[in-house]
Amino acid sequence: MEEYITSYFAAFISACIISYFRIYSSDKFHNYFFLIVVDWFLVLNCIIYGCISIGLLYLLKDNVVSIPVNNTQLNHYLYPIGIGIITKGVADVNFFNVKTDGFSIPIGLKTFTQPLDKFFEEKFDGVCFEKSKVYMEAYLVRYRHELLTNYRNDILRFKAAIILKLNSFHPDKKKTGEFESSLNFTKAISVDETLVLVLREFGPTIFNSIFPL
Amino acid sequence: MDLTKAILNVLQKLNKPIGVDEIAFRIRSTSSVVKEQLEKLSEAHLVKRIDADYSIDDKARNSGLKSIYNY
Repeated sequence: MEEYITSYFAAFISACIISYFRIYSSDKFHNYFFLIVVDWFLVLNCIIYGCISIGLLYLLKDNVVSIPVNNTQLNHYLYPIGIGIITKGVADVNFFNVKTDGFSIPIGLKTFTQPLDKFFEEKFDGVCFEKSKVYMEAYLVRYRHELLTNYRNDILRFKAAIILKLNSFHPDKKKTGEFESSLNFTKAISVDETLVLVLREFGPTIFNSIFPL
Repeated sequence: MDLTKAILNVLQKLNKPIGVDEIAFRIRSTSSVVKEQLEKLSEAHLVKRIDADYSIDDKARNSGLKSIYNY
């Protein structure tokens, strides 16, 4: 009995860790991750995928996939940990899509996990938006003032100064070049937009280097 | 997904009036770009303005939006 519990626990934990790092490394949330790092929705997302891995381990408990056994302690946990790691991949299995009313609906396990992922994505966006407003407040006050005093309200000069700083702080010159020529940056007409863009594209470490308080 | 679809997608998913800044944040764009697009959508009666916020126009929700989402 204890053996089963530890196996399910190992699968649960590994699925939770994978789920956590999947969001951490996602393009959409990587640079905002510091705002949701201890958020309840993130914890809930990890727990749900942990529970799915328990269900998957239960279905595959007869070792559908076999791992050569040496009867070591490590090997005992390899199978449930493996199941935990592949949980997200299995949950995203999509056999085909059905198009109806202009919408494309995936058919497979993704039928259930896609709405779940979209729900969490929407919640993370909401939390990040609210928390980023609070986080940015002090920076916006300072740099709106700086635009008026040091740059004579010339947003183009302000943006040029940011690109210079980015070139010295960010190691990837290609990314800085792409950022400079991006539609969002070229069309940005205020300090607020510019600061939001830098945080979004380069994350809090570079942001704090360029905009010290 | 282009900007128009992204804006309409966010407004329809949230199903409540939201500000330009939040729309811009959610679609990873900027307020000025989104505002420009929202004005065009407002003229086309696809979105309506409620004070400083925007939401999907009720008539558009019932009729024309499905064709826009054809992706």
